[in-house]
Amino acid sequence: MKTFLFLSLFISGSAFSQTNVIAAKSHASTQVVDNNDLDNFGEPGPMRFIAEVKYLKDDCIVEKYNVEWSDHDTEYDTICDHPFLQAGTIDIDRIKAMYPEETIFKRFDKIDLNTKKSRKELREERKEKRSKGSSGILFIIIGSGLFLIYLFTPKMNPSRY
Amino acid sequence: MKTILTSGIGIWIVLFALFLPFTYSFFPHFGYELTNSLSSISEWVAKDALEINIYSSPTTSDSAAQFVQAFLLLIIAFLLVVIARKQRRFSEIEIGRFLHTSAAYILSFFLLKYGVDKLFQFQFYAPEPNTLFTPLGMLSKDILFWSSMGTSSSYNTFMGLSEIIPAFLLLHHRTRLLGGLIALGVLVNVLMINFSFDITVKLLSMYLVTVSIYVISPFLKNLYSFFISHSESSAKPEKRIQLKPKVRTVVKSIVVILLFTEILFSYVQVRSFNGREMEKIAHFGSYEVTQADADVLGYQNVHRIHIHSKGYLILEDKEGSFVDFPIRIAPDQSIIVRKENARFFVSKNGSKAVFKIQKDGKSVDILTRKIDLDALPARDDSFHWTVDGLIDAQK
Repeated sequence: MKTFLFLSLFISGSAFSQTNVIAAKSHASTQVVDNNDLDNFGEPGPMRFIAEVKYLKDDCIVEKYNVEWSDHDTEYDTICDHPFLQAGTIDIDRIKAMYPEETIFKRFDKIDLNTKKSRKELREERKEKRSKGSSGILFIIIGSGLFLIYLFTPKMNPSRY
Repeated sequence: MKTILTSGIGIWIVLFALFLPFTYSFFPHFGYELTNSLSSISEWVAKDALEINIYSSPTTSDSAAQFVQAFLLLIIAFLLVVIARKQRRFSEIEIGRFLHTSAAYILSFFLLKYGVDKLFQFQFYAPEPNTLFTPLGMLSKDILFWSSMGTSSSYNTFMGLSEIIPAFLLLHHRTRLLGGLIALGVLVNVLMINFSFDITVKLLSMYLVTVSIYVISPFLKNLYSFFISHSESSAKPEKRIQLKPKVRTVVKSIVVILLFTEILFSYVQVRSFNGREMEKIAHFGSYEVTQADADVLGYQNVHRIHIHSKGYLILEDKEGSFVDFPIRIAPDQSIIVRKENARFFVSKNGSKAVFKIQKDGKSVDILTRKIDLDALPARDDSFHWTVDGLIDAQK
């Protein structure tokens, strides 16, 4: 049941993807290419994994997903009106049982406290994650290195060329 | 001239692989970064110079801008060859060996990636609930091909192995020619499927066929001697990069480990090596409405409600028209249709299911019956040696 709950929650995004044209047709989209579908050259597309669940405030939690995708490598989903966070039915163990064992749970020990800074913290986390995900810098470094090698490689003797 | 052509194509093969906006699991998404860096030029050429209507970005498979990008990379590749020849800084023989080995590894990577996805039943999935209830004549040939492939796990396994075997052969220089020949056969078939069924992976499949030919090309004389003239085989060209044995072992090991990490990473993450056995989204399946004149989200005469594995709620009316809505599943297993600001609570009792739809403060119950999709002929993946066995199974 635990696995079922986990999968039903987290696979919804994109366990299977193909060309975005076929993906759109597979769910009877009215558009030839649906912007919700990600194209991956006929390959299974990006998958979403739950990484962290954070208690926000009142009856709200924030789920943090890692996604295999360049622009959206981290996704957040805020869920309010949570059935296990209603007055009289607060059951943290049942919430935790819905997620895989590796999931990190944050702030659940502060369930009765006000957490006014949480949105700000989330924004900062997103910002930090985006800067980490940039592979452009890596390419500039590699590109510069290759250019320097090229520049300093001595010209060959024409007879050996 | 021959050297310029060979080197130009070799550099283009490497550039194309680097600029391909492929969704990697482990590698960084350098293809996206590089494609985006060229997107303004490729879109300008497609739109203004070639006057093509642009509807999709160059990161989309077979977009007009992606074809233009491939052509631009070809020009860049030949420019690089001309500059390098003028500069005379590198040995053409060594560059040729490096490009040939790189092409073999690129080809091996794509064959492994697609082959493993087929072997693990992830690429061609079982037809979705709404597809199963769409009349054959209403399906276009691309989704029809994709769905047909998804009905047979054994054929997927076969196709997967036929891509994995040449991929392994390409990794070793002694078996590279054999691997290249098998890969060419497999990939020409894939190319023809993509062209004949109008599947939008034409550019990539053309590229992979070109890479196969490039890998085989140095051995054409040997092949001619063996198959046609039956003369003594010509000397086999040495296309191996000249490295010290220890260095070679280390470099090769690192490259192979990286390739396999990329290929297997996503399966390890989802802890599944069989796409067909992965559990689906909550309420996945088809539900037949058992009440008259069912009105769902403003759509009348709804005949069936389908829950698609990728997170869509699809309504099918009595005339066979479909309409889709992206959905999310809430922690209490209810279905959230954000676009319509509606929520579906599903309660089940045996095959009966009630969809309680809450929208704009109102609540409506829709009575349905869950359809056993596995009982449908298109979901039957069985095998029969004889006609008698087939008739027996149908009884």
